[in-house]
Amino acid sequence: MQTKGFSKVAMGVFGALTLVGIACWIFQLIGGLGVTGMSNTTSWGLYICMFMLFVGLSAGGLIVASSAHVFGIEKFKPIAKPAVIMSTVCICVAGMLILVDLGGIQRIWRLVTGPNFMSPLLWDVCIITIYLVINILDLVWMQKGENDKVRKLSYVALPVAILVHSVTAWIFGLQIARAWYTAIMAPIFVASALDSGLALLLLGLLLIDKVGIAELGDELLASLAKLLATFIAVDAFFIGCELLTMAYPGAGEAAALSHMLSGATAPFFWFEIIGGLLVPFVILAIANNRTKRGMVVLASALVVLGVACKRIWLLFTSFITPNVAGAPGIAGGSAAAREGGDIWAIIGTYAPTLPEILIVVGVISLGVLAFMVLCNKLVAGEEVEQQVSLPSEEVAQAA
Amino acid sequence: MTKLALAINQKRCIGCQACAEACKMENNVGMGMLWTRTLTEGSDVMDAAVGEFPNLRMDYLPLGCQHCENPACQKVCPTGATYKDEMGRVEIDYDKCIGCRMCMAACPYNVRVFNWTEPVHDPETGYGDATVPVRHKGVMEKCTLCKQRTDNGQKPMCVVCCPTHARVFGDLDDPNSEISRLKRERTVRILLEEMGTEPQVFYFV
Amino acid sequence: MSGMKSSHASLTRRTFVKGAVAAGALGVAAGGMATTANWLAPAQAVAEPEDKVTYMCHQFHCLSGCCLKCTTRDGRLVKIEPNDACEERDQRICVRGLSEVQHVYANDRLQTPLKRVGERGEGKFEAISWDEAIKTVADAIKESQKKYGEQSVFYRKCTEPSVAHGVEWLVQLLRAESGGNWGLDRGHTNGLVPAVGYYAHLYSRSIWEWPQASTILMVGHNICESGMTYAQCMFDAQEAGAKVIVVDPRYSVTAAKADQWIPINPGTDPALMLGMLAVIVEKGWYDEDFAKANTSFPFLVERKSGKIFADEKAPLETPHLITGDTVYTAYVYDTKTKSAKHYDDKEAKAALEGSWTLDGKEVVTEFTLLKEWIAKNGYSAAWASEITGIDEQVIIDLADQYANGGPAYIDFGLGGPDKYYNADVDGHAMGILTALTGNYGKPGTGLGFFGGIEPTAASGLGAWALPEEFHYGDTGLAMYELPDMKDCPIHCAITFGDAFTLEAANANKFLEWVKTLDFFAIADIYHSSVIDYADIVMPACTKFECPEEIYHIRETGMGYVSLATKTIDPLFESKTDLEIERLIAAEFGLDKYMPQSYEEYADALLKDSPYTKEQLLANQGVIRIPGMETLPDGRGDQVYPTPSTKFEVYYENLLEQGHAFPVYDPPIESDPNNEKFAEYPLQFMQGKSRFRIHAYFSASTWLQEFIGPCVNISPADAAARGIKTGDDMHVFNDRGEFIAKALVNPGIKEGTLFMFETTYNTYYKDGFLQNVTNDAHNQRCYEMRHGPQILYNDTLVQVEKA
Repeated sequence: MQTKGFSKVAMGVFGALTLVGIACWIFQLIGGLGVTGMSNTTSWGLYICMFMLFVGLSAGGLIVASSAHVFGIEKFKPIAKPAVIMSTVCICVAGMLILVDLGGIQRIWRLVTGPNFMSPLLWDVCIITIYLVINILDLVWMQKGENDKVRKLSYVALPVAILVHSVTAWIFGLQIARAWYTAIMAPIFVASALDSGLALLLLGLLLIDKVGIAELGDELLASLAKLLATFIAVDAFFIGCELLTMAYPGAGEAAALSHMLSGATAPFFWFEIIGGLLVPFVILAIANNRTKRGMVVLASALVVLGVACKRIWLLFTSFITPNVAGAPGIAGGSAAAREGGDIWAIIGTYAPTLPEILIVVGVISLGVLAFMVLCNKLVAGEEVEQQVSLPSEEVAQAA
Repeated sequence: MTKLALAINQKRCIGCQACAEACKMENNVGMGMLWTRTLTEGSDVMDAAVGEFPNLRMDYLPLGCQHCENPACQKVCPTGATYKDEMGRVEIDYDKCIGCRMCMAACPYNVRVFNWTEPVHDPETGYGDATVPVRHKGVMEKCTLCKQRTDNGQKPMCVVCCPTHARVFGDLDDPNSEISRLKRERTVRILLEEMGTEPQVFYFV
Repeated sequence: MSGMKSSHASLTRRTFVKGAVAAGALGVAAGGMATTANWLAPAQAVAEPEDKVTYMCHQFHCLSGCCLKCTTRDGRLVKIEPNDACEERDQRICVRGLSEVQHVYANDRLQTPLKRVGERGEGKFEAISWDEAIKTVADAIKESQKKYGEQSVFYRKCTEPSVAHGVEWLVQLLRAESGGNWGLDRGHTNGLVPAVGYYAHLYSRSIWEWPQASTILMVGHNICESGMTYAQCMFDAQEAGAKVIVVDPRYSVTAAKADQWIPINPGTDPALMLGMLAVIVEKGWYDEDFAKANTSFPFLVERKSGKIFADEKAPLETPHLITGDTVYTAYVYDTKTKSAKHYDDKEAKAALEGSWTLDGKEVVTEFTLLKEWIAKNGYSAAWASEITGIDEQVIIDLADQYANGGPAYIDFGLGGPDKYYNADVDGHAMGILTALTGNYGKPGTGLGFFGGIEPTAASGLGAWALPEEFHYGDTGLAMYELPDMKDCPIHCAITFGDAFTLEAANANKFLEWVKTLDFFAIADIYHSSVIDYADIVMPACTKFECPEEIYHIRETGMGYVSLATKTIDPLFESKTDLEIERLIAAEFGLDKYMPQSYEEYADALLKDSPYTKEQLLANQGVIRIPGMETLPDGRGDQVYPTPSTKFEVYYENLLEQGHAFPVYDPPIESDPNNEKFAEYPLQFMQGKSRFRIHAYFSASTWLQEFIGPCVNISPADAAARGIKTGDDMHVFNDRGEFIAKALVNPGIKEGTLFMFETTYNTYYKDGFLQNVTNDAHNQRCYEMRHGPQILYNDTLVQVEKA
């Protein structure tokens, strides 16, 4: 059966991937986090990496939707609902990624009974919860057509959105132990959230336009694309500031910098700089391109991938060289190490395992599924017979 | 107040890993993980010198929890599982640990070990002090300064078993203790002092 | 060849397990074979487990003999710590002792008696009962004795399975051969015995006197890894102001901790000693008063014959320490009467230097002869520098520091230079250095091996006496000579521990000989390297296991009498050495001469001693030996256990060998001038690791986390062969080969390799270290106390990336 909106086939595929992910998560609950590629050297992996990405991705939707009200940008209003759906879904994905990363999820209630308010992680839990509530309220009120409440909520939503990214940044940026320790971490996270979030929103809008759920006009597309170009420039500027600060003294963070420029995380770093910032900016800086859907899709996809790469180099570069170096190094403690191999690691290495990847795919699939369902239910409105295509771009990004 | 602390004489440290194994034994630490171990400083190979023959040096650095006065790990712990106790030790309440590993990211010294899987003991029946809590998969652990011993006025096992008496254990809040005297009178080395964690473990030669 | 060997190794493990699984029929759960913990798992937890504390004395084999306090829970060993009834400085343990908590239960434990079913070396076994094992062993001994006589049975208790270490009942009851010269750790001692008496390496002063020294010259002694519990004395000495100087080709842990490290070309240590000697004599830095009063330097020697000029009417009480011949009273030249006088004539003023004609014979003092000897052989700092690779000025400064710096020690290890062809020369030269500078018999001075065997006051413990008719075999055949003999008289061998792969070089050749034996049985604790060659394997207990409450009694190396009690029950079907020996003895009706139990043995030793069992048990198993409160004043009286009672420097019995004074000899193989060097250009050395006592502790998974078979190679040699740390490295020479992991270590001199002593062969990818070691003998040493030594370090090899 074909309806206007996302097909059951597409939803079935993502539903199946979700189930695979859940199965892997159960496997992980039984075996422990040892089934992942993480170890005592690289103690955070793909989950946290993707968590950072999805917190950022959720930004675009809410910021665009709120701006429509706060700054009275009327042309943004029609896309407000899909934007908020995307935002909600992304933050849920981010939240789930945190949950699958916990080694002792059965004790998670301890966050409520004995919170340590000094912990940036606790701040993040709070702010993400607030952010999620705002998103849901926004969506509910939009659905009910209570525009006044939506407008008022927007005044809260915008600063909260900024704060979500800042607090997430502080999980990393406040750690003196790591190369993450920099005041510009929060601005970088906000900038990355703006560009990647907007890029994803563009992709999402183009997709729902294509499947016929809602139309995206050229004028709106062009203005969003222009905004994206601006965000890319801001992101690039902040990163440039941080790099210069790292490099100039030629000391301290030189090791981290060399890993980024020519070491293990260099491919990700250079992809982001060229593929994630330079190329999309050049594409979108040319006014004509902004209405070419193909070019906008390309630029947006590159931005999202670039920011994904940034999360990778940002996270893992700090885990490579221990502050206190010497052989035999760090006792890895991972499952692989216990099977008679060398338990020691002089430097941190990491590669995600299959269950780990499948869990991430499952979580994201659940998000995509939710996006599809919500779009079908809330945005599609009256049924219109229409041929739909598989949202292939979305799949590509998600994976 | 009590501020339990450890001073390590690097000149006397022969890199023998007796501290590592004494700790492993006493605290029932699983295979593939150690609460303390001794590094050959700056070398990628254990017991290998640094430099060019014959201009060489080889220094050993026993490395475990630094029981910081300003512990980065404790600050970031969302549930308060990691805490600074009344005797100045940094401890972990395993029942509160949700396994987020925030503390691991925050600790500058790489001395925390996580139970990535259910810990494996060899022999499987375990070893060590009967009162040491059992840790299961998903919780963080690290040097407790042998809480079960130091609570009762005994020295930590690494101190007892160090064959060259390179370790001095004591109370920094007692100005007459040997460790207070060492801290006052000797040139001491604080690991990553610039990070401001104020370790209560310090090194001297 | 390497392919063949490696498949052999893996077959060994598999088939052994298979054989062991078959033991299920004998009451051993099959699952228990794969992991020892299953065996130990309590059937059901009934009540809260209770901790039980016992006390014992641990390794005698590393020479430390730490007194330990052991905690058991549910009958399982869970904790080991120092025995706090000892004095604080003696509350000692090291990483090896701690690791026993796991090592005792290791998977490599032999679990049941085994009978070989495959070829020797193949490692195919099947489990048998103790009855069958004992009967087979006894029958084989009987048959061999009947066929070839009593001396056809070789019986050696070595390493850990011989719990009581030194108590060897059965070998004496059977009058079996036990291998004569041991060939280990006595290289320097060979060159020292005539000078200062038997057990010359065991200087009778304590290492606790080190802080009184100005200089401690450590030669090939890596105390910070071998005798870790004694390393504290070195630091105490440094803190008291002593200068520690380490001579070692390698930058060892001890070298890193020393005040000065002098890298030396491997095996050239005697040249350094002779160079220092030349400097001290030339510069007149010797202690003339000491030399005159306490050494044989003033003794007169007939120039022509080289014999000591002695009064043949005045024999001395003590015969020659090596030859057993009567020694006569030597003459000295009395400067007052200008005539020859007995050296012990109190009135005489002996001349240190000079030559005279007396009774028509030209005589010369030993000291003058030494001077001439140095000149004749061209010994000097420059000469020594050429050979040792040490800067000439460094040698001169070292001589200065040693002779003029105040009280000084020369501390030599039992490894390192001791395991080269020229170790006797090194020992003799060090002896002369000591005699010349007077660094003996005074606080803060000495020569010997320190940190392991401490001089203790007499404990007063009794001994277990066997009737006189029982004694060791008396052919004096050394074990290491057996493979070289044309008609080897040994046809049946019983060993406790892996003597055949630990105490012999060139394993390929040695094991070929083992294969020719009619019968070979071994009692061992772990699946050691030689197990696969045995016909019968008997599982032995560790020192923690005993079927009775009272266990071994002994003097510890630290000056205590220790009475150990049982820590845990024997694991699997293992038995103590006493039980195994009793069972075999019973087959001969000889068990009546042995103690029935460890308790009976302890009672016998304690009977007329100053201690009682009750006192010992009440005091955590240890009592300080009376008289240990003060440090022993060894040789403080300057009376030496030599015929002349002086420090004798001139070895008349080696005149024929040309070694009356030491003559430098290069290593027989490990020498760049050796023709083999072109093909095998790397000097292969082995030494102690903190993680092993020889191969013991190979099975410790705790220690395996830190170390496996690995060879340290210099960065230059590694780069030349494309080898990186962690690579498998093929080490080989014309005797054999093995594969071990490479560790690129800047502390290794180019052209040399260093490997920690062996690990059970099953842990190597192929072969094991003893395959390449040198089995040559120094014939000269047959004229010495301990005979030729095994030249483990006198070995050349080549390596390539495996």
